[in-house]
Amino acid sequence: MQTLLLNGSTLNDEYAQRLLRLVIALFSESGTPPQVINLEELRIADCTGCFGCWTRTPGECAIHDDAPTVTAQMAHAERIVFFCPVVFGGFAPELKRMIERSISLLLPFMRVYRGESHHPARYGRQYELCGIGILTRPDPEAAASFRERLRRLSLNFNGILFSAGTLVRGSTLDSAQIREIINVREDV
Amino acid sequence: MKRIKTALILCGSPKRERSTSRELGAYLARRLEAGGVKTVERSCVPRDTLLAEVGDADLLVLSLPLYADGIPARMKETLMRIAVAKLGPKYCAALVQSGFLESAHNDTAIEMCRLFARDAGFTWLGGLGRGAGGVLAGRPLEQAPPPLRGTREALDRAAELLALGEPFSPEVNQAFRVQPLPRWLYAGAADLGFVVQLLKNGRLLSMFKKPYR
Repeated sequence: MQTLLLNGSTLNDEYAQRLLRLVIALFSESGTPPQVINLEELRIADCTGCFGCWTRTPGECAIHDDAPTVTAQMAHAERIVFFCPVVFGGFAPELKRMIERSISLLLPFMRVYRGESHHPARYGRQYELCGIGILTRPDPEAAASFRERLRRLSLNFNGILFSAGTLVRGSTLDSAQIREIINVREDV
Repeated sequence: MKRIKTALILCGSPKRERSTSRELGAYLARRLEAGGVKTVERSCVPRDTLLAEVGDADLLVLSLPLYADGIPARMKETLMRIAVAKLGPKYCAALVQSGFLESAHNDTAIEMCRLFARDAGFTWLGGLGRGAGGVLAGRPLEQAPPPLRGTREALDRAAELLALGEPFSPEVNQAFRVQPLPRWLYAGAADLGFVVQLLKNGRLLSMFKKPYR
């Protein structure tokens, strides 16, 4: 399975980098190592909500920075891993910004999927999403929100299965726990 | 119960014009003003005075569009700055709207707004979510078509509750969430709107283009 990992943590975050190395090693156990993109190193502007990627240059964002290159890699991936500190129960802004800029992976039209309106996938892909979040302290509410966040995003990415979990910053890096986050997949 | 004297409405939309979130926030601001609450509206464009202005307000209302199932990135950065600033006791509420028909899409973002309020030390008064943003399409709510009368009435009542520092009632929540149109009509109109835009831009034949195949 072709896995793309979007790293929304900062490179000077020592705990995140140690965790990231372990996550990469665990994904590599089951096949090809994931392709890792460090978003901090890229120039990615805010989405302006213009919908140009749907109506002016279909499939391509009108803003010419590093985001379209990442979107192209997302288009080819089978599994996308979102890795970042948890902020208010969701993604860190650096990662969230990239996700917003990738809506060209979807078509503008509405269709019913799992009982709700959603946009169909431009590439006909049913991406499998995985979320790994870092909490600043034990926080069951934020952990539950992060998991639900992944489920909702999976629905909008036309996914069937997703996996998500959180670790508390400073906690021992336990391979078994991380393996469980990665491998225990749930239906959306 | 505490009478609110000052409010700040923070709009999370990056759009400069035709922003539904801005119009919903602006309508709420007018209702709060009518109820005697001095209200200012601000966007998330970085500015030196924002933290002080939020600090001066008794009530902070977040009005935002759903972006990829969550709070827009730039707004999230603004909220992070507010949360760490520890601005003292304050009330907080949120209005979240999306272009999907069903308001359930907004629930995750509302929960994130609640967690922001918790982390900032603010008292959470609730979040209202509505779908079908395309029906309002950035017009002032007073000019909205009849299907949005319920939204207007819900915001009128929401403003009364906020002015008293009281949480949104289940009735207000429910009235705000009501789908203004049947699914087939909203989806059909939305799809037609995109087709018209594609036609105007000369891109109709490439609407399914896969540039990264």
